[in-house]
Amino acid sequence: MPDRILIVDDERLVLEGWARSLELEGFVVEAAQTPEEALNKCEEHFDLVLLDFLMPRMNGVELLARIRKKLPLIRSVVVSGKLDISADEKQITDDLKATVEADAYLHKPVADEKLVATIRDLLAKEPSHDWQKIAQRVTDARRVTLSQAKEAAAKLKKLRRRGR
Amino acid sequence: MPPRSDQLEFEASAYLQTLIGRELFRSEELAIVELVKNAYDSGATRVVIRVRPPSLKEPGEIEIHDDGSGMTLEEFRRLFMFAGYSERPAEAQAGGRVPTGEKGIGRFASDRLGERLLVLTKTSSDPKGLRVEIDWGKFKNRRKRFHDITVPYSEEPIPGFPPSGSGTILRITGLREPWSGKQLESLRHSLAQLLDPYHRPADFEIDVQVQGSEVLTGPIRQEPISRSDADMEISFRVNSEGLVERRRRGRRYPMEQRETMHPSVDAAPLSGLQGRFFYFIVRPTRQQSKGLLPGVRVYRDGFRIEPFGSERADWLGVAEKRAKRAGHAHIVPSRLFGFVTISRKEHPDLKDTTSREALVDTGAARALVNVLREQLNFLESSIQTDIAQPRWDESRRRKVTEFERAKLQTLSIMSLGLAHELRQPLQSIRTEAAVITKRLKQLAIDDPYIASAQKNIDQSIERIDGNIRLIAAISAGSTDDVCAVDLAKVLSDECQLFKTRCAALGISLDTELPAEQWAELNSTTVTAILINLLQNAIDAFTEVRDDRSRRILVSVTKQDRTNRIEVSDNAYGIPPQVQGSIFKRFASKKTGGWGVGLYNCQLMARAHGGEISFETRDRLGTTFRVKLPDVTSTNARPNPDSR
Repeated sequence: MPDRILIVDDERLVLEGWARSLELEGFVVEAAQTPEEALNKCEEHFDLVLLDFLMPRMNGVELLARIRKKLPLIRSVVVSGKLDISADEKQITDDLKATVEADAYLHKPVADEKLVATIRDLLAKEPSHDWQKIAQRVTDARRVTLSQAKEAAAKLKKLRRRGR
Repeated sequence: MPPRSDQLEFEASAYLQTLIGRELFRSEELAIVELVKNAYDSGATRVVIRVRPPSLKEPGEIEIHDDGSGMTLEEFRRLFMFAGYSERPAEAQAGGRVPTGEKGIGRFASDRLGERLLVLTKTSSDPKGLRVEIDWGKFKNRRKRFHDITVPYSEEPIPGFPPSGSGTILRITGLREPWSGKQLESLRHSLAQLLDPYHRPADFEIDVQVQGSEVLTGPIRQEPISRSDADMEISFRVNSEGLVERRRRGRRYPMEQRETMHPSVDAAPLSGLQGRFFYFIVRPTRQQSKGLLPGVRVYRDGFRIEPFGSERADWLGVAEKRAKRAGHAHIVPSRLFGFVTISRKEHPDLKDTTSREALVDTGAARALVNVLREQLNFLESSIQTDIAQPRWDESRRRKVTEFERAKLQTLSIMSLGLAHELRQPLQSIRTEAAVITKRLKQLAIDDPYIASAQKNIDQSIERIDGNIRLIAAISAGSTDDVCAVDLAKVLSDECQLFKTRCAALGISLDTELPAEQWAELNSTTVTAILINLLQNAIDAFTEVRDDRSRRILVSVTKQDRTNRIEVSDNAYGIPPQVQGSIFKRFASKKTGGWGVGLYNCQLMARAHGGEISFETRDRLGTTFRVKLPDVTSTNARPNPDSR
């Protein structure tokens, strides 16, 4: 089954371009122009979300956190055209990982090959998160008891070991 | 002497005394000052002024008590009772002093203070003293002649004086003024300023005792001002050639400076004159000014001549000049303090007016004013060059720097916003170019032209993005992230970008680069400078009309941690008239040029501790040389402000 990708960007032209490009790469793509639309679409399953950092009303980090509540295991690529000359991509990626555990950060305008490579890379790997945090997220999302959450975490850990 | 039949005689009305005593002296303070001077002239070492202000209970009294030589009856008759007569200066030098008075009218000053005067005086040789009571009211009668008014006296022991002691007590009653605290304070101030703080008369103390006020009681002291921002001490020694010697010192002149000069007026009558001027850049504190009010005072033999230096007297025209020329007259009157010393012996032509205010308008007095004005002009110009100008320059420099910074900041904010705006369409173009390629591949059209077109689009977008970053980086002044850079690679990559363009213009772009050359640099700086220099070199060929083989050569070398990048072309060279201003802003002669390229390059190079220079030969070409030292991250962090 092809991987499902959700793209969120307030710029229609960018959104359409990425959607076309990723479809041509064989992914199933859903595009959302607003954070609200993106959250609605998250009722379905997605393997990866590609989202713009700067959007009206809600920024990418905030949106990612909310998407995570619905889809705890989703991988994420944050893209931004915002210019922060004091930091390079790697540093921003590290910062984002520390705050919302975004898996990758890319500067706009990103080359298509680089974007596709990054996405394929992430999808090939297990989600690289702190399992405790994921368990916490599951707890928050589903309002389960703590014991259930712990169970879920243990299951996920096993799953991960098997994956290796 | 019997009246002669063929001669007339002046007779003085008794009222003449009133005219002199009551109306000549401007103020009560001045009258007291006059009596203090008389005490000094009698050789006194101490004068005590006791004031008992009038109240409802008592009428009040002023007593001026000195320990001078006193007077015998015969002396009193000869000196005190003979109006307008003065033995001074030759006959009456007491205690080796130069007398301050010479008019013989100071005694009438007491009329200004009160209706009645009691004089108690005693010499050291006479065991008894003299008691004289004068009622100034008697002199009001205009019809009576001066000598018709008699004054009773008696010779008797005077309490308060030991048998061998001497001195004079002037007791003034029927006071004409209430002597409020404010008035007494003003009196203390006048007395403090009476004595030259720099040439204080030796062995002379003034003590004021006010009944019922400890604050106003005490000896009069005046500290001299010792330092200001610009001090000038002048001393006039007119030599045989008529040259004036001037000495100068001050906080801004750590070394004393001596000069001789030609005065514009005949300064001979002023030889021996001394002056001190103090100027404060900002209004001095009380501590700095020693409680003195600003102004240029004149002292003769240690005693002040009114009104020089008082608020009313702009005798050197400082305030007038300031008012007329504001910004161009650098001396602000309220910050100038001056002390000019003259002496009766050395400057006999500088005479007081009878009212003890100002000097009689003689040639010498005019010369004094002119000479001092000259000195003030000199002080003014030295204040301008040594103090005002540097301060202005500094403040202008600061303003320019702030303005530049503000501009850069604005540009930075704009470019950050612009970057975001530009990157959206760039992203779209880039993605769509890729989409086209992919789609065509999918449609089994795998075409090398299309692939290379997409690649070019990609590269161009990279470049636009690079420029956006560069502008933002430059405007944010963040060209100071230093890291290890392989200069050879940076230059080679950059030249690669330009090669196609050069080829299209028939220019061969060659490089002479080592395999690698590592440097501790900010790579943005290097890239930005190289882009500008290459663009300039390419532009230089637009003027070339002949069929020379067009070449641009880029090379890099390293010597003692200094990286030298050279960009040479063989175009026509830089015209001589442009050479001087080539690194200035908006100096471009190119059509469409902004004229900020080389200016920015130089700024960036300097911020990096480097320098750009050029060498040009007419019709043969130009070489730009960029020197960029390795920056060791800790001790030599480049300063973006240095320019």
